[in-house]
Amino acid sequence: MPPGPIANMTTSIQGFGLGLRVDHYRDFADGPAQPVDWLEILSDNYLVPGGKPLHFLDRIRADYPMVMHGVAMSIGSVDALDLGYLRDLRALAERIEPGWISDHLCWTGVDRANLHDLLPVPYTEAMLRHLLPRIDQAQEVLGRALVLENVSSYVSYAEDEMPEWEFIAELARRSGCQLLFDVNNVFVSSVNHGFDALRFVDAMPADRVVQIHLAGHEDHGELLIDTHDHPIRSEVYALYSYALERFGPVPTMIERDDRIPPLAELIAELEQVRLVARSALPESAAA
Amino acid sequence: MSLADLQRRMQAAITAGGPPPGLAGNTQGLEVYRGAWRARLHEALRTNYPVLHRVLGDAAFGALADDYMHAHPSQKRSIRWFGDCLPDFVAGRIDALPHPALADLARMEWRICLAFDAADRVPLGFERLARTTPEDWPRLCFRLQPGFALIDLEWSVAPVWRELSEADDPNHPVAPPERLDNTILIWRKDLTPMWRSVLPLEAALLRAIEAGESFAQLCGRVLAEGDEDKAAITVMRYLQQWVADELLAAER
Repeated sequence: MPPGPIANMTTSIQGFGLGLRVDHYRDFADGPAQPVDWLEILSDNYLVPGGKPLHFLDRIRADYPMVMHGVAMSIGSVDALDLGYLRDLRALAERIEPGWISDHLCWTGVDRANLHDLLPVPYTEAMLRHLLPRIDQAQEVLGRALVLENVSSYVSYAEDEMPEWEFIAELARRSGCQLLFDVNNVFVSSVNHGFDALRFVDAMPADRVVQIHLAGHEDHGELLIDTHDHPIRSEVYALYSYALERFGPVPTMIERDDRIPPLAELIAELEQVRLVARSALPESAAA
Repeated sequence: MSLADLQRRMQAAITAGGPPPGLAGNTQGLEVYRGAWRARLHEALRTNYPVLHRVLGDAAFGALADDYMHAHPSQKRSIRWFGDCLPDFVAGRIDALPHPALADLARMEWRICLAFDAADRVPLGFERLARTTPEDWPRLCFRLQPGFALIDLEWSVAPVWRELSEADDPNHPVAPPERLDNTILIWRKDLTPMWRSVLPLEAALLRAIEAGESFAQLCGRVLAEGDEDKAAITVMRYLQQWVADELLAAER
């Protein structure tokens, strides 16, 4: 991990957060202080020249620590990394001094196409070797460690040589990247692919997990779909509890991307997350 | 299979119905990616072209979106920019659409969309004009805000756009626009995209500002219209309007 010149400007992130969404700009910018310890922004929404997105970003950042979360790095694609994109991310990081910058362990397209989806990579040694120099390159341009999130998936490749958890653990060990552990994604994939979600948690290098995502999903019978448009389900809370017992008090947030309710509803759900965390962790460790 | 071959096959399987690379387990999963790809791009176009969507309705807009996403696969990093070629695409297949004014409507919507998050510049204030000395006025040049656009339209689509963008009822009936050559000015005031119709003289002066012409040259354009006595007053009146509209940016 190359400690770049902006690595020391990071913000401390602790406790429980929410994804910042347009619907809640006014609540955070104009309302009283909300019981939310930090906010995650969708980086891509703020890589624009100006106007409302950056206006509210700056105002809300004045009161809330933030982390940056992107969907377009395509770290697993065979296309070259988009250096302009990485530089734009770094410029945004210099503007808001986030706790960290994350994206997904996935690819989003090839031959310059962007499907705007988080497609799973094959879990092979060849993909590991493909990812290592790319993670190095991204970390070099960003000037800080890259945080990578496990995606939910609906297919797996016949070429896979190892389970996803082994792949991620090995990637973290070899690359020095950090991990954003999405509990809902693990649960969704475990049902879709028929694996034991607890094994996934057990395999994670706990000291690399810097953030946890929680979200809701849809049950389509044969498949679970990671829609982020429902409250968190009880099975996901149970897996979260198990993960915290292993990882310790990792900053946790709710991702809600569709059917976005009033902020008060999400804050009530975040209180539920806090309760689960308090039960899972020794009293001294709970945030 | 190489990583590149695997990704190309997977991409073609999602976007063009081609055979996927070898997949294990549940075969329904590929359909999830196919559906999500289409839904996400349709949603991006509906967001960027809300009035075009209203005018066409779900079915016709969906068919247009399908054709567009295959003709212009997204190569943008952010889906926010998806649809940048839709105005030309609509113009190129206007015979297949219910009304020829839809091309103008698409052009207007895209420019409003661009004004929304165009770069921020401090607006030029009246005090800057007030402290300009008489000797400096002739050489004074102006800068337009980055969201500025003038678009020449063949149909009176602006009233339709206003009516439909303000109507709560998605099925709000609206009279079709009439054939009318007109020019629309689009910009952003503070955080809000704005537009209004402009007469040919104002459009000519704004284009002259965009080309870097000075106050004296702007007055010369008004003189050329035959308004000898009042050229400076006419330009000053426009300037006051533009400053009030926050259409002009302060110097760097």
